[in-house]
Amino acid sequence: VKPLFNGARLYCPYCYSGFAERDIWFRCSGRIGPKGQRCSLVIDALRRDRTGFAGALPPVFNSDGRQRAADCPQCEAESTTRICPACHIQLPVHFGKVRSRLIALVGAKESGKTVYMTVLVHELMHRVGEDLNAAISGADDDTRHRFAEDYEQPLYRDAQLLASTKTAAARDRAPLVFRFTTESRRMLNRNGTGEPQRTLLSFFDTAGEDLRSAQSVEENVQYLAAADGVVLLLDPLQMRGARQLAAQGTRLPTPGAAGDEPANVLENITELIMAKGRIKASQRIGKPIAIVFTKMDTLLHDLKETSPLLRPPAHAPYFDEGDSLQVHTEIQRLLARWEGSRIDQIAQKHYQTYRYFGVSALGETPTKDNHVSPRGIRPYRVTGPLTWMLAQFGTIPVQRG
Amino acid sequence: MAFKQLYYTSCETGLAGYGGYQFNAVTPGTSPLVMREIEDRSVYEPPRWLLAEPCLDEPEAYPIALSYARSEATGAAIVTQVVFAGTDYSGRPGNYFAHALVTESREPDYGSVLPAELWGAELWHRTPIESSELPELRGPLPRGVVNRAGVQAFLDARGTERVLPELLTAVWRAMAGDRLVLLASNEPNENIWWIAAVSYLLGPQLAPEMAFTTYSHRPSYARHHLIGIQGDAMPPDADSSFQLFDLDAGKTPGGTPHPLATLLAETGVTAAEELWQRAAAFSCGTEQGPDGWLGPVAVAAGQIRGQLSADETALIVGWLPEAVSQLSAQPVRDALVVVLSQPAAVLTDKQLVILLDVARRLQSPADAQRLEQALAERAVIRIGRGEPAEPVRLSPGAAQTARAKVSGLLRTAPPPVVLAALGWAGASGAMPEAADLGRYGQDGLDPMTAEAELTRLLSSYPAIRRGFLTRLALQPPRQASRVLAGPAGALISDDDLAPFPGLAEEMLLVAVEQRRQQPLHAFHRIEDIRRGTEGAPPVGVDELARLWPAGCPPEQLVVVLGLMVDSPDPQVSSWFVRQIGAAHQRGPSGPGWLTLAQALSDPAFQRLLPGRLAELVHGTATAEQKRRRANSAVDKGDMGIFASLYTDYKAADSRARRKQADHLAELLCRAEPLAVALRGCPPGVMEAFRANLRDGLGTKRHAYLAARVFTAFADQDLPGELRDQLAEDLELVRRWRRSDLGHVGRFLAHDPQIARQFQDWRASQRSGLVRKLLGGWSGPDEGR
Repeated sequence: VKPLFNGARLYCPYCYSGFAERDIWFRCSGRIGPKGQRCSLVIDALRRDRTGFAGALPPVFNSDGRQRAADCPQCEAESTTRICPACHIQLPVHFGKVRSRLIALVGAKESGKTVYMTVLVHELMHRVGEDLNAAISGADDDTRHRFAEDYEQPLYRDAQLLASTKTAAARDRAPLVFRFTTESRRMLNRNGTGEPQRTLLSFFDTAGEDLRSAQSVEENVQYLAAADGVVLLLDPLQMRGARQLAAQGTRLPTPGAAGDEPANVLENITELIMAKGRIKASQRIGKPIAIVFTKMDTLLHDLKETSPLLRPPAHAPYFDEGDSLQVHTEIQRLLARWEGSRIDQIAQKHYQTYRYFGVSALGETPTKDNHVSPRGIRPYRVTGPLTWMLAQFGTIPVQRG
Repeated sequence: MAFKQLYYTSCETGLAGYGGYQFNAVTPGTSPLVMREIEDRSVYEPPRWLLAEPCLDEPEAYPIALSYARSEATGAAIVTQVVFAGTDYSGRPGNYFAHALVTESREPDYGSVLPAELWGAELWHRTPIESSELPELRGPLPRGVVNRAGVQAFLDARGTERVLPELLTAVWRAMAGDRLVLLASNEPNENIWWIAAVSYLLGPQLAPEMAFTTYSHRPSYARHHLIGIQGDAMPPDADSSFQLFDLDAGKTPGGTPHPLATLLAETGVTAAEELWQRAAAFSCGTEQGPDGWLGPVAVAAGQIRGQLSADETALIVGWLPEAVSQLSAQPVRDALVVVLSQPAAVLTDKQLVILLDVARRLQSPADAQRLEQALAERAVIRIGRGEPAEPVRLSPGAAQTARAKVSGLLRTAPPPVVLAALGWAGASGAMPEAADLGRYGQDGLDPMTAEAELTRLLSSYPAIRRGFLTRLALQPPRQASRVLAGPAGALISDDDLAPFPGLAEEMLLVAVEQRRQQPLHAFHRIEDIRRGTEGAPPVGVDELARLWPAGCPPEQLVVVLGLMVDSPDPQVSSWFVRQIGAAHQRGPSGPGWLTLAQALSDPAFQRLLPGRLAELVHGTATAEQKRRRANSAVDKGDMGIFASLYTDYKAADSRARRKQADHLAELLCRAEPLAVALRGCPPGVMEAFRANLRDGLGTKRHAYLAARVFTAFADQDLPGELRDQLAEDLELVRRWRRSDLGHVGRFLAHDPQIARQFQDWRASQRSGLVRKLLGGWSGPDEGR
């Protein structure tokens, strides 16, 4: 990618490379041009080497990426397919014209990242979106296809637990990119409704293995540096204090190595963000981090009756700041009980904006043969981290007090 | 060297030191770069339907992914078997187990084993081990269940005549950077048989370069040239993004199969082994892909099968020129033998030329002569059919055969074909002997041949020209004349005609008719020809008539007049009589007639002339004699001649008088002293003389004439009337310019008296003022 001299810095939602809008390339449409010629499909060596995709595609060409369309220099057919100059993946419609928010989803192995992401998006699509007067959809064909086929269908239709996420070394996965559309609260149209306000959300589902060593972190999760916000999933059952409190019959995770210990995972990620963001020792990280404790269904029985975690969240078209703060405080309290106070120390010391969340994607421990409970998927507070993040970005309204 | 082994799976212990996806065990010393590639390429997911309805108790339901590829980082050969492993150590689903074998020295380690033959081999492991180290594995590796016979049986059962060449071609394209090949079937574990078939047919030379996998759950991210998939994993854009072979649906990308693919598919996987072994003997070591191997394999196929198709033969012919510069002589000679053992009909002329070049470069004269003869034979046949043929440089042996064939063609072929044949023969060094060409010119070349062809034949081939002239000499003169008058005649030189006097004469006559030759010159040439030909008669009347069809002018008749006497032919004599008579009629007073009449005054001619004509000739000759005598006398100053001339004048009739008066007037103009000559001058003559004087004094201003006239005028003996007439004519002189008069004076200066009289005469009619005004005055001494 050429050095950026002018224009706002954009980040590819697929490879997280930064570039200016003018540096965006185009891919030929593959249609017959005005000269009656059609470009042949070729293997895009750069995309293959960068992403592993080896299918043949129409050729790419350089043009002013600020334009909506450009003519292919070979066949002269007009193309509106804009691609990332670094990885050659087709960029979503409106990329560069609307805010793009990259949200990194990280966590230790077996913390439930893939299941959480699947349930979160499903919830946004089917229920919470309605509450927020928002719509979410896959921003590209690959996301739509993969989310439906590889994530949603196995979990919701087949009631199968998803397989372990492959490591980043296996390059056959691109981030899932969704378009989150809300109504603007400032610019109302004639009908009194807000103009659509679109935000691109890019989720890179990491394998837990990728966060265990500094080397694998460095190599595989470079996107953390480009992320606008981080959702860190931690499995409280990996914490000695919480593990003892798990409800009977809970399927406990394999005791992990030191690298899987939640505080160490947070520490690893913090170091990476600071290094990539060139943050001085005296500074704190500005990008918001949602520290999410998963599988909370296994620990709810141990909470006080007055615990905000036992209170169902409001179905409202805003982010409930009061409820969120109460949950935050409750988790802070629980951390001491779970022998995880170091997590709070790290968060306070290194982050300007952080918040704790307690969620359960499935609502119940899965069966031993890796099926979801026969009672089905009953998500618990899964959207809180994202709505908080979107509220931080100003994408959704906040209800305080 | 040996194979390094790697196990990769989601396991509790391994190289990472913690649970999860990792290398469970590895042979020490394995390159980290290769490890990363294996981790990337061995990702496995079962078919979608098995995700929905797992068959954990039926492991055979899960497709095995046997993959082979070269490391992009190190070039090492990597073969991997990946199998579904159910749940991992932590009970999580979707685990898989990859067992990879890596070698940096492919050839010695694999030996004759092809990667596809490792399908089902016992060496593959499916479970992790406690240790993190694996031993090296010595090659060659034990084969699995795949073998040639099994693959051939599989193919036979499916009828693969159309698919297999296309599949091979598609794989080569993918290996060259084109779209990858998708092999889709409902039974993924069948893919190995197709892949093995391709591997066997590619042979040990090309198969190691083909990356394949028997199963991929996400083919868009597989980087193998040949990718096996299950039908339900087909990407939505598979048709355009890949070269798709949907075997269950009978769908292929189409297109023309590569010739080597067709050849190999026809050979079959069983015979392919021997085919490639033989082909190796014809390898230059630089073959790249199917194009490079096409020739060697085709030769090998020819050695095995004996007979080849025209296309296959063409492949070898196309390959030989490069091979002859890169291989030793023996394999090229063997290849040449394969081609030459094919029926000649399958080889085109161009191919024969290529083969000839190869044979020459191999220094194989027998083969070269055989090819030359074949080419020559075809060329002659082709030319005989009126088709073009490329010349070929022939060695002496082949040239002799070709020469005979061309000579044979001359006996029967029409001129256009002969022209083509001789053109080819000349360029090929097989020109027929001069005798054959001459024979053709004499017996085969019709004088009625079209001008263009006749001209080309006669101009290009002197031997034909000579033969043709021989023929022409035997033809009726008119027929020869027609040819000689045409463009062909222009090509024939005097040297050509030397042996043919008749044709030479005819050529001269034609030249005269075409006004390219003067009749007189032609006559002399003809006379020379006849003179040089023993027993030849003198020029006859026919020739004379053709030389001078409009009559012979008297000046030329004088030159050829000797023939009139020499020829015994009375017709010749008659011709001359006619010409003489005509000459007299055209102009009896002209110089030509006079010359002719003088020539004819010889008694030898007089005898041959009829009476009237003889008189005319005699009269003319006599008159001419007199005229000449008079001229001579006047020039000598003998003025006495005038008296007899005046007498003749007076005796002549009126018609003759006019002529004589003119002659006498002319003589008088030259006569000196004029006064003597004028004595007794008849008035008619004087009149003619004065007409001449008016011209000489008035117009031409002859000073000498004026001096002589003035002298006569001053002669007191001149009769008065003549003197008056002269005085009158002298008035013309008086108008002359002073300088002209000065000239006259100078002519008269030798006689002072006459000179004085002239001055007086000049001064007598002019006043001093007039003289001044007219510029004639020069002072009192003028005229001194």
